[in-house]
Amino acid sequence: MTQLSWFIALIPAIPLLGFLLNALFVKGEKANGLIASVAVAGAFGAAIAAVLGLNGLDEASRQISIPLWQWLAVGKLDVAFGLYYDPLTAVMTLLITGVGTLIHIFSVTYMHGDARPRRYFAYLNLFVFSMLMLVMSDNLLVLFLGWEGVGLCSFLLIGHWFERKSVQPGIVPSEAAAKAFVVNRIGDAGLLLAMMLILSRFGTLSFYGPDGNSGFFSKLSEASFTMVNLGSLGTVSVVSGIAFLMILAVVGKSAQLPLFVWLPDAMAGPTPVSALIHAATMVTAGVYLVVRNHMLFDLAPDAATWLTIIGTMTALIGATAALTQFDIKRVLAYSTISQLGFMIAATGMGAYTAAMYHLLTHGLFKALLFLAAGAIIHGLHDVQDMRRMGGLAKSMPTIYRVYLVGAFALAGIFPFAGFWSKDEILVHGWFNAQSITTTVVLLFSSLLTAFYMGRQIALTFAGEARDNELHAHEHLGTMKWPLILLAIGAVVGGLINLPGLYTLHDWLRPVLHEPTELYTVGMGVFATITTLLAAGSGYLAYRIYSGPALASIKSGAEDPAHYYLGDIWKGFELGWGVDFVYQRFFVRPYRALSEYVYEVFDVQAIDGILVEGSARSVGALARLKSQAQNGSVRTYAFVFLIGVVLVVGYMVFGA
Amino acid sequence: MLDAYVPLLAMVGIAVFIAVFVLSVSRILGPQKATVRKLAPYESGMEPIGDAMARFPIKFNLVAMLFILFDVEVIFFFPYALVYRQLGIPGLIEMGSFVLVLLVGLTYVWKKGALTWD
Amino acid sequence: MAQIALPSIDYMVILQILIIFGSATALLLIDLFIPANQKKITALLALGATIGALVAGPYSNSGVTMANAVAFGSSTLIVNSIILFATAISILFASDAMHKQGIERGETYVLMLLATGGMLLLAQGASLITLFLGLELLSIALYILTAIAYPRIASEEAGLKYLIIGAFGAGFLVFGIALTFGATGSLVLSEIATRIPVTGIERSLFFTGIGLMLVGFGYKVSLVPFHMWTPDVYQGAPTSITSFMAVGSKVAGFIAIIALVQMLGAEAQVITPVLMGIAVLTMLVGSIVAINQTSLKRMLAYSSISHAGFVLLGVLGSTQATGLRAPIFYLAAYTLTNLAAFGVIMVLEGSEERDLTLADLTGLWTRNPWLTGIMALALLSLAGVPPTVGFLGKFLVISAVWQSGYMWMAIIAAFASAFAAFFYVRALLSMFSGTTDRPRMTLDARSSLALLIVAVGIIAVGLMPWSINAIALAGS
Repeated sequence: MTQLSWFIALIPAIPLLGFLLNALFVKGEKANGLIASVAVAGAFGAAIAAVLGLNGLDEASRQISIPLWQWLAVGKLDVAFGLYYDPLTAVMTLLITGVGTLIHIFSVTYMHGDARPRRYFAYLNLFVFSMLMLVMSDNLLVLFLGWEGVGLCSFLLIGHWFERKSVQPGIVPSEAAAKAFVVNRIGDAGLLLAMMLILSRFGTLSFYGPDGNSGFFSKLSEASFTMVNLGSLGTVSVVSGIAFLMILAVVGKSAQLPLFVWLPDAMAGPTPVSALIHAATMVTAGVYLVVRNHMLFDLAPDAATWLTIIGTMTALIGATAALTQFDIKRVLAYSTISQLGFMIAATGMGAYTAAMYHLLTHGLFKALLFLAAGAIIHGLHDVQDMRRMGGLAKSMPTIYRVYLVGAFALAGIFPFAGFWSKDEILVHGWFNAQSITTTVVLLFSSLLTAFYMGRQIALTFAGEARDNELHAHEHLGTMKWPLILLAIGAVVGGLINLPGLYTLHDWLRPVLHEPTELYTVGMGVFATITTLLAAGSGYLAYRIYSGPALASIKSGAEDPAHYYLGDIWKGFELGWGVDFVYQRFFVRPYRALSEYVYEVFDVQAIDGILVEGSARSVGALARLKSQAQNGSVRTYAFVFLIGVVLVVGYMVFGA
Repeated sequence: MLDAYVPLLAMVGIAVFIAVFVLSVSRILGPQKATVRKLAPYESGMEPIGDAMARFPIKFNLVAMLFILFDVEVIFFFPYALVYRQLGIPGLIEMGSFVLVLLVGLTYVWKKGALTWD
Repeated sequence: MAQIALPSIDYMVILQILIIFGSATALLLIDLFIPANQKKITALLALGATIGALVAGPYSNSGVTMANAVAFGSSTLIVNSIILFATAISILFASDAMHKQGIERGETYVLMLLATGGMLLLAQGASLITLFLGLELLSIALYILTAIAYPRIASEEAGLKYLIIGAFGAGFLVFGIALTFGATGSLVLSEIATRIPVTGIERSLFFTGIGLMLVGFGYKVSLVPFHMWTPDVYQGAPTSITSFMAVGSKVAGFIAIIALVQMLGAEAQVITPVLMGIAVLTMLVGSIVAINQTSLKRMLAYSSISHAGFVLLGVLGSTQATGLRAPIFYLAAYTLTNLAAFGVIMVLEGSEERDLTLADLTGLWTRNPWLTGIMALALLSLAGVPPTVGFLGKFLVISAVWQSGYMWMAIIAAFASAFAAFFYVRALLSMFSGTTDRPRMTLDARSSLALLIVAVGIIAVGLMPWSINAIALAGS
């Protein structure tokens, strides 16, 4: 292995080591925090070294495969457990480890005094490790391993405060955790099936193969005209079939319509975990999956169209839902859903670089916003309801400043990071894809984004403190530097792909092969218009909410806008009722079905109670018991017999 | 193909016919006068005493079970007795190991006290 | 007076069976002279015999012997090793748990060895009679083992139920064998394969026979709708016995089903729709009903039903050229995982005979972190989360099914496994949450060793699946 390969292998290895150390040996909150932070920081260092090393190579050879060991060699299936490192992986690892490090450092103060710091930090490292495996895998099976690992870690971390019966606003952590896991599993089934289809058609799960030219990517084009018959559903090309199955996975993991319901509830975890899930890991996995498999989606225009539709709708729904929340973290959660919608829509339109660009800048400013929100919550002793805040600009000056930066970046105000990346997506939609509807909806969503951020700033920081029981104070400790560093990132993050320079674009060209863009006057005009609109929208919100209305907002009160919008507002607030639909049409019927099947196939239900009861109170019940027993074995035999009759019937008449 | 089964079918038919026929004939032609004697359960000419569902010691059951077990094993000796010359030494070894396993079983029940009455 | 030639016997082919049955017989005698409070000596001897048989595996000869009744080959070696491994672990579990609960009897180990012998016969059987013999030996030993905690009503009741349903199933099996024999004039699998009737009533009779045999083995591996005894028996039997029977008899039963399907060769497509229907039903009923369970053993029973559906899918997938790797690997995965799960439950029971519920897992983390870790591994493996062995098993089965062209079956299976996760997650959550005032459980060296082996196995085989194949290579 070359020196570069060693650095690459170190990137996931150090967090894994940190996890093992914390999980198995180290005790004590300080030591746990230190080890976890150092591990991720070390990974960040290795990631920087690896990027520099990769930069030293010429463009054509910027893909490095490191086979580690043969995982599976069964028949046609031949999976090497290997790492793969190319410019796309490089930027992902930088984001994951970089933002991850800051979140770890932030956690040291935030989680001070927690009952289970050891578990927390161990899982945090495992989370980073899983995400790194996901982006550094050279084949789909190992990617799937990371994919499930990320799901598992999010489950464990969201449920970290399981003993709290309800954190604000009425979410039970353990239920939220289970919801996240199960919803994700539905998406995972899609990815699993996509893998099956790829395996059965191409005989390999490797993206590029050991020599860079023998993976399933290189075989896609010859299969794009093979059709699969889906019976009554018509036919679809193999590639589209794979793409549609992958979309299912993306929708689950990246919280898109209709599977986004787990993400708002995932707030139940500690805030740094939310930051990790929303910014650096987990939800970006879906976007990464699409970008990594961009050749597949290029050959499946029907699937790509669906990506655009799903992304656009999600962007709109997320933004409208964020408008109406009073929980400071829930606003940000729906905002993440909305921003992910932007990225997914961009990938659907073929703007992979723009999607990656937005993913990176979003990673910076969303981490900033979440951590700042966490610092606020920390300073207010676990109050998350914005109606009880107000006037925090005075009591928390540092947080106020960094929050403002984050909000500007998210709202897409020139020259903050979010402006550049969001503009890339809109410009692509308007000029390149020429999809007017999509662009208009996305533009509208971005105006809503500015609006809800203006609202949030007004509710949280403007005016006077509304709840005097809260002794708001700013105690940052190790939380300070992560916030400042991320704030700097949120200001200058746009530099990585400034129009005209297109650094990220050039860097990713060996992977994505997108043609070089030329900057035109039209784009400039477009960008000017969007930023002015966004600024106007944000200012409008700030005026509305910091005006006379502000004083009347109390805990438990309705939003001023509720007066005008009524039920529509309620609908927004509930995320357009998707959750309700699930409860009504899936969860409850499934439970009922389970109950029913249980009764049919398990008459023992009643019997069990009787038997147990009689075992305890010998005597009167004993007779009942024996009767029930006879009955149940008879039932078993009867069901058995029905089975036999069916089988034999088939054999006699069907064979 | 089905022809081969015709005699079988015929035999089933005849059997059913005879059974039904004989029973119904005795029912129709025979005089039916119930007396106490006639209605009493038949126990080889003995007077029936008490309830047939009486409890009796489990030991009978155990002994009966052991008897059947070893009795059935003994049946294997009859065919062996007919052909033991033809089977020669290998047959003797096989049968010997069979007896050995039986002996282990016998030792087990003996040692466990299944053969003592009290 | 011509000599009657006895069928020649290659003792090296039946080496493992010989060791197991020989030591079972000897142990029955030896046990008589071991005092009641020293029964761990019996356990140790039984363990020694099992390990001896395990080690003898690679030295056995491949081939067919005893007038085509018993065979041995490389895949038999893997299956036998799985069975013997499960027995060894179960003996370790039983000698700890049954002693603690005060229900230790020397016969337990003898019966376990006899049941193991039955399983080996099933795995090596090359004729219908051998298969029947194996199944009966296995079953009769298990009936007694189920009821071996006999002052306990639950245990006796479970044993009786098992016996009744078992007799029912065995009846169908014999009837099936008779019909098959009638239609082909042979009992040897390889001969039957060449004599499958092409037309006429014989063909119907033959396939009816096959169907009845499937029923006979199907009840043993608890395929729906022949599964209803499973939860009751799993719940009633002592836990160490439950783990033994859940694992061993399922592996052995499936090997018999695989043997039948392989015997049919190209004709297997006739029964494919039946197998498909049963597999789907089994997966769905298992995973849907599990959600309502609170008893841990009943939950694992339903989970084992659902897993049986997956194995059957794997068998379906292997009727094509892809081979038997998928179902056999799945069985190995299932063995490791279930041994771990039942092992933890057994340790948690301690000296109580109470049936543990989900609530008993609450706060386990604060009581026994290592035990929690092992249970978590087992649950994740049951749910099929990578990198555990359970994931790989599911992956191999689904991909085998997909490659055999039953795409819709693969899709159903993928979603069934996604939904089944719900239940395991619930158990997982309760272990890591809450606090409890129940005491910390102490582990005996035997249980610790057994649990450690299976836990390491879940991860190690998950990451290095070729280790299973390595066993096969050692024999060739």
